[in-house]
Amino acid sequence: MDNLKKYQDIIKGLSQLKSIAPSEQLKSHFENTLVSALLSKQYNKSSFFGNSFRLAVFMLTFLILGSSGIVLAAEHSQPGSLLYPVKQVVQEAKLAVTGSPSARALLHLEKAKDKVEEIKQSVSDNDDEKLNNSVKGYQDNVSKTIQETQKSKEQTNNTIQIIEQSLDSQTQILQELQITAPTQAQPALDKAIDASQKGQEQVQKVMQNSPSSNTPRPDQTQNPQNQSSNEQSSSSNSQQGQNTAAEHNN
Amino acid sequence: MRHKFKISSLYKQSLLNSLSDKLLVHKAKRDDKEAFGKLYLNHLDSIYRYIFFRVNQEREQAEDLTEIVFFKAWEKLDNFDEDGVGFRAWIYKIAHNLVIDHYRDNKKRVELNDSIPDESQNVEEKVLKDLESKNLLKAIEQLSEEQREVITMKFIEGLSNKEISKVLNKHEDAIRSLQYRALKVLKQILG
Repeated sequence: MDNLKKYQDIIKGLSQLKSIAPSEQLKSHFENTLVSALLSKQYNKSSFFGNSFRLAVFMLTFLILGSSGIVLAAEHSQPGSLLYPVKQVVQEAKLAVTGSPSARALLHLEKAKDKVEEIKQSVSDNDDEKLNNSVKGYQDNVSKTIQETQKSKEQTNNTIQIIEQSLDSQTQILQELQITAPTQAQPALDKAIDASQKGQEQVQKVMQNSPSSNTPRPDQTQNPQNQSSNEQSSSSNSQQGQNTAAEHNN
Repeated sequence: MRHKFKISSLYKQSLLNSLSDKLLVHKAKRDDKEAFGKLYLNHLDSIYRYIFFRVNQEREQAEDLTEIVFFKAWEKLDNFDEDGVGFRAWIYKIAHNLVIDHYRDNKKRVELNDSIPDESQNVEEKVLKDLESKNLLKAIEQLSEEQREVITMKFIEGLSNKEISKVLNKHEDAIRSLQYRALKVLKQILG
């Protein structure tokens, strides 16, 4: 009987712990970020809104989301880190409110770069399911980058070069990864390399057809000694890409 | 007898919440932003508490992780199967996986900590003023991770065994046994 009473007291005590709650700051912060996220999501599904609404949503999303510490911290997060999902949400929000094809191409390129990181991580974790999903995501984003590049009538040579160089760098990373990857990861990596190389070929075609194609490509003017710094160049290109995307939005 | 009534009212409330979730999810997936907001705000406190008990009762860490759970849930809502596992079990599952990832990423394990949370900075002050609650919080810390999870979901949040079994990917019998063992450990600690 005593035992039963003791258990009942413990259960009663546990139910009283329900009064533990998060701070009011978290609640209000959450409500704010949620509102902006909802607006961008709604825009994405609807075709009724014009450019002014798009601009308003963009401003609101980044005024609120951008001022949140967690979102700022997420901006440079890598796949696998806790803030990576936040970065993905922000990327989707940006895509939902960005109209310019070349800005959209650069946003998809940024996502493709993240997918390469995911692929590297999946190979090192020996996680085949995750690897296949990441490769699928990579193929999808490379394909969308190219589609947006082909759509754009005002494509600058600079943007095309950024895309071409970034895809070249991604091909190299994937090829290096393939050397050490286990056998079961090879077919998936083949697919990713194929997507990257085809993407490069297509973007080179766009570059040839571009009105400003007389400008020499950076890899044609570069000293061969500098070519090993591909990864560095890719990272600065990515930054350039983000800036270009922001300019297009403005 | 009085206690039995309290438990059953907890489940009644839980059933009502589950029906309300179904409706809200249905609306939210069809772009009703008000429903969407309500859905998440309805679960904010309980998800926070669940994480709070899993991260050694560290408030700031619990808040950061709670925020990420909801970002993830927002991102995945379109893929949520309305006819499958309920929304509550679904969002607890996200929280459960996130905490696992958190410890894996930081390459650290929860060490048993017999210190109590800092009362001066916690909103839990009210609870901590109560000596029994203080002792209970300390006792919960000494449970295994699984026992702590089950105790939080079952007796603090009122999830059904079926829901808990979905979150932890375990059979309901295993859940019942975990509950029993956890209560037994708590009883031993509390004397």
